[in-house]
Amino acid sequence: MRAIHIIIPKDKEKIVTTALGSLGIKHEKIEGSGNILLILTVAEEHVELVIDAIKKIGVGTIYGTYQIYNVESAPKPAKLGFKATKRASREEILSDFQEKAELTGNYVLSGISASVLATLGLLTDNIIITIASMIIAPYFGPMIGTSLGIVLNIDELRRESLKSEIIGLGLSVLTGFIFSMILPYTIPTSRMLAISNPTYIDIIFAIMAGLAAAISVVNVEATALVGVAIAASIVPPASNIGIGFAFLLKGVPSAYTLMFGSTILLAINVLAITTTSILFFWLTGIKPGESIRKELIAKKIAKQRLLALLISFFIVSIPILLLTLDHFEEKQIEREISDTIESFLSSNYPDLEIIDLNVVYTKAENMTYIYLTIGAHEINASLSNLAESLRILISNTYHIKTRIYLSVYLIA
Amino acid sequence: MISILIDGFITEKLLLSLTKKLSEDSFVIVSIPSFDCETSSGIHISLAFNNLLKVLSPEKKRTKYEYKLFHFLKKLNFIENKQTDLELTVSMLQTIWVKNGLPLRAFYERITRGLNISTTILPLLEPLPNLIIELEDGDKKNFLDVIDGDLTEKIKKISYDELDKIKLVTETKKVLENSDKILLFQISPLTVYFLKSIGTLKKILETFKGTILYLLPKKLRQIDKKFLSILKYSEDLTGLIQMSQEQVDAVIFDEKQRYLIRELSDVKLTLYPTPYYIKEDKKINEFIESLLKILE
Repeated sequence: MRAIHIIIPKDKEKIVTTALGSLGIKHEKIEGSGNILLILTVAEEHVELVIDAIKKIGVGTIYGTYQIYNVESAPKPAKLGFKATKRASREEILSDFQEKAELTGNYVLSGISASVLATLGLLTDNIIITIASMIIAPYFGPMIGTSLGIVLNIDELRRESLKSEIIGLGLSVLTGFIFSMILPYTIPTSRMLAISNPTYIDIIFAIMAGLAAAISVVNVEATALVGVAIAASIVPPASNIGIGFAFLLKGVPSAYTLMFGSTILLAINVLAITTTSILFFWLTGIKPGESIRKELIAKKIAKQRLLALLISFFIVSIPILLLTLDHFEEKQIEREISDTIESFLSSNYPDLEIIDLNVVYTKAENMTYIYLTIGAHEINASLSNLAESLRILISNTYHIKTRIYLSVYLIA
Repeated sequence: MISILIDGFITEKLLLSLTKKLSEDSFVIVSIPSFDCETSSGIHISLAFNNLLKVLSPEKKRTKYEYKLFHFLKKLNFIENKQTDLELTVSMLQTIWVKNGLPLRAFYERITRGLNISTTILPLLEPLPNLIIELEDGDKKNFLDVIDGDLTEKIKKISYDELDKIKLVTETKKVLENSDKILLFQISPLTVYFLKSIGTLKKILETFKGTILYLLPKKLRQIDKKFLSILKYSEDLTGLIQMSQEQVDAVIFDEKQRYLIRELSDVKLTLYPTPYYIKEDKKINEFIESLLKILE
């Protein structure tokens, strides 16, 4: 429930009460010397309706003002004859994110702190430190602010949010670079390499992060730590780009992979979060309330921007999607090779026992590595030809360069 | 920058008070030729431009409202519709100017400079349209004939000559696009219809990034009601607002007309209530102050 306080000059009372009356909303009145205070209690889903109705007649723009409060406990307000989705009002969301998206000293400091922790977490392969960086990262505000600015066609909010977002990400890259240059004996860790090799799982994660963030924005109940999902997609890849650049200067191998892979992941995450949240806001009916003309303009511009974002998202996703397809193809071939080896051994060497079989196929090199461990009751002449027979079989069947690593255990 | 769009009907005191309060470089006036028509002798009369000149010119009232030329031309059987000498002179000069294919913007500049008008007045369209009114008996008349002959009730159809050839004046288009606000100054329902009929203008209004405000007339004239009924809207301010809702963001109305808030609760449009005084000087200032607050 929300309480709305409307403070207006006395001569505007009839106008405002007429507007409230047409919505069927009851109010209490407190009179001052020149102004009056109207107090209303409404359900969360009706806040936007009431605010639109009073703003429509100039409250807050040409006379008077209004304030919205959260009511902890009160008798349930009378039901209105209007259907509305249960979500926070546009005014509440806007006032919240206009503040959160602002480029302030605190924002910059939080961004640097989060980036320092992310860099340390990545360099030391310490997941606890990396998670800590996500919790304090301030990027939730600007990212959602950008989406809101696009949906509501508020250029000021969109520009300010984008500015904060770009500066924040730039700081993360810079922090990653500086700390990797300062700290001695740094090498690529498994976490850094994982970030540099994004897969379709990362795309799904980013889309879900955007959706979760958008849901938390319109949720009337406060939801804590939703920004973590956003930060998880943003801070580590951004810091990893800086680390990659430092490694490039230090001559560490895989520096290019770190930089390129992390940049792709960061771009995908930013685009996925922005696109998903725009779509969600749009579908939940967040639109300009001023006039039908402004609503139509916002719809048209949001459509154009959404299309541009979707195109960019698909273009940036292409390398990941291709890698994913390659990955599936590799796994398929590996499975087929395993089956061929198993069937070859069972028909030609029925006495042998397969202890372990691991096939690794890399499409880029068109090469397969077969690690075969078998158990045999005796070592004989035919066994010594097994590795070569398998190599010829796989090479001829699949036209792949093949290397076999064979281990034999004697079974007693 | 505010673009004030004005048609053939002007509330003189209100416009003068508003223009006095605004700094000269903060606004332009755009003349909408929705009531433009041609007399039987081929003189093109621009009601909006003529009225603007009468209102804004610092010339003496007596000079502005002389009818010597009109009586002379009437004697020669050259004109029927009563026009002041200033209006007739400007109309005849404009007709010659346009017939020679000269740009309307230059004509407006020359005339306003000649009459010591410091406000910039821009023409909206070129070539100028010609409003043709068809009466119930099938007779076609110009707007002035209808007014002078009190034929409002007999209007059956309204149309404009060669509307498809009309184009927006380039400079005016730029000014409109770069304005922060567009104020439709008490324009008539016919003008709203006219603005919606010109493709490029409709597009500008629909995509304009700033705010479009419509200062409603205090009340509708008989002819306005007739236009609304022809255009299938209710013959009151509610009908006028409904007609213009897709072209404007906010409507400024007389705060005494509270029924508009009730009746238009489902219309997505801002409705600014203001004290609507247009007669007493002191009260007009109050009205202008609240208007300026909205324009800020």
